[in-house]
Amino acid sequence: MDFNYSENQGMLADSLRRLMQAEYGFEQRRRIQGAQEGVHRATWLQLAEVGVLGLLIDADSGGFGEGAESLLTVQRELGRSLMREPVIPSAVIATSMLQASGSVAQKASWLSAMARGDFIATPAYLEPHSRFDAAAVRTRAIREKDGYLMEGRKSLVWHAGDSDGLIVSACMDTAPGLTLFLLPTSTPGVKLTSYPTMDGHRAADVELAGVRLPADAVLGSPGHGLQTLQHGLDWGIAALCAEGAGAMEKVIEDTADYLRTRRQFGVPLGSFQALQHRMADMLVQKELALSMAFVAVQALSEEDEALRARMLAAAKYNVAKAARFVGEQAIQLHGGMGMTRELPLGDYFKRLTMLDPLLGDADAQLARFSAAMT
Amino acid sequence: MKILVPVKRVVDYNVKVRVKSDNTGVDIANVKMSMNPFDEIAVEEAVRLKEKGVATEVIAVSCGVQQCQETLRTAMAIGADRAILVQTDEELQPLAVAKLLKALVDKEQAGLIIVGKQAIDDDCNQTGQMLAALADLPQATFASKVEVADGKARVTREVDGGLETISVSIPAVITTDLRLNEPRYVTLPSIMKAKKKQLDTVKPEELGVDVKPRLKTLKVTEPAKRGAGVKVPDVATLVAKLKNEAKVI
Repeated sequence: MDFNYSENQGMLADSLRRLMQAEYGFEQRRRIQGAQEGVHRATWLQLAEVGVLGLLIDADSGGFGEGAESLLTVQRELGRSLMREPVIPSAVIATSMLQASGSVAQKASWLSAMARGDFIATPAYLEPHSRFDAAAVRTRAIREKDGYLMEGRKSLVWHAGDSDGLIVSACMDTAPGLTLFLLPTSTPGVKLTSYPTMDGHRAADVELAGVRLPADAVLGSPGHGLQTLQHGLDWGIAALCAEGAGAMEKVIEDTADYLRTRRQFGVPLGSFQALQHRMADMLVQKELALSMAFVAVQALSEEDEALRARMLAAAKYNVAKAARFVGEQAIQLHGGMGMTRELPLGDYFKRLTMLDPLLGDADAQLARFSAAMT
Repeated sequence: MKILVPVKRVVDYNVKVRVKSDNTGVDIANVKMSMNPFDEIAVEEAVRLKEKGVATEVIAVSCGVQQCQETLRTAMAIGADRAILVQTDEELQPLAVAKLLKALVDKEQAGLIIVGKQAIDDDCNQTGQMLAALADLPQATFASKVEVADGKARVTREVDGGLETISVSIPAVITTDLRLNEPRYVTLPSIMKAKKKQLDTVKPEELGVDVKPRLKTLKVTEPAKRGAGVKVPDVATLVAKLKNEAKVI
């Protein structure tokens, strides 16, 4: 695997960094977050224009058909700027699920609009009892004469309140296993309760009561939804790992700047060897996380399912662990200033901490790794 | 009308450069390189003139090593139609670049040459002016506004103490200042389009230009470190210090 950016990826990364620095600075992000409006439409459309939202979508569906390596480039930059828009749930997870299993009509109606930034989709797969087990589903879809009737509850649905469509997992009495359904959020019977999460993102609980869906709402074939869902979540994990590595990079740069500037006992803090050691440890962890992000990207093209699962679980586990370490050390090195709202560090710390529970916490990743060893 | 836009590959403006230990220059090994910001403004202006229908073609030109192709691809992603690389591993100084550009201006019969007022690496601020002299063209330097109509370019220049507006007949050389425009963000679709655009490579010999350096760098050193400040007890002492020690009043 070539770890250098291609010419295109380099240009895209440069452009994204400039865009984020100019249009999505710390103050701007705070304002958007404070407004509690969910998706910031102007930023979302800018991301569409630059090509982030259509990155993984085939050219036939209005996207650019880029691969996982470009995803890493983009997510690393978005991580640096602490992007709080639903790029991973919509432009990565939902997109890769639709790409893998969507019918021609589904791709035409959802993916094209998603590439333009006119439509946001998110997977709704977790339930109040399920922890991180995507297969533990109680939501039911009953086959009717001309479609399906859906009943159930989904929880912690990432950015569901800002989404136009959900990809919902459900059990059916006519087919064993999981089945995925494409469900516009405006469908009667769908009730969303939206709330902010610790890292400035948003999530929602979704109640599905007497929701009627047409027969063509099934994504892929009935009973085979778990594979499609896991495929999407795997892409999400790779994106999250790259985002984490990018955020850690920025935290280390900011902390190094602070240590060079802040003086105690007549000298810069950075001149103390004990603090230099901590910075070195943070850098080692960040490099480890970046390497793991590359591993995760490589895993996406791995054909051996067990190996793929092990690579992704190991990557996610290590990135989340490194993120926690880097975040905590950065706060410690900033001293009291690290706890204030004057600096962006607190926001980074919250996001870095959230990397663990998102898409399966450490225990879930270790369980997945162990299961794939047998 | 064709617009020729010279672009230079320089150390990225975010990079804090370090002087080599032997004081022969700046260390650029493994340093991020990008397009000179003033040249990026020049490309943007040329593309805007094309979008207004004033120009028919925008040609980006770079002189230097093979990696300058990346800079030219960026120029084409902003909107330049094609690009020319004058490839050489020789150290290029402003006079040599001006001569190379003069040869290309003659070859391409460009109506306007829009170039950054200076490069952020050597800060020479000479190439545009030298090119105008060599090609015997009128020049409008430090442009903060450009309007082209009826065979003339009306250029607002940023000068000490205000703005000066001049009119120059076309063909002409315009050098761009910081406030001329804000370059657009390169998008993935434009990057993909740029990949398919034509990029020609020529050698200085083919243009009949001798690019041998005329100047020799004797020494490069870092700026002197700023000394610590002092507290003064009152205004009278401050005035005395400014007058007798700093000698600024």
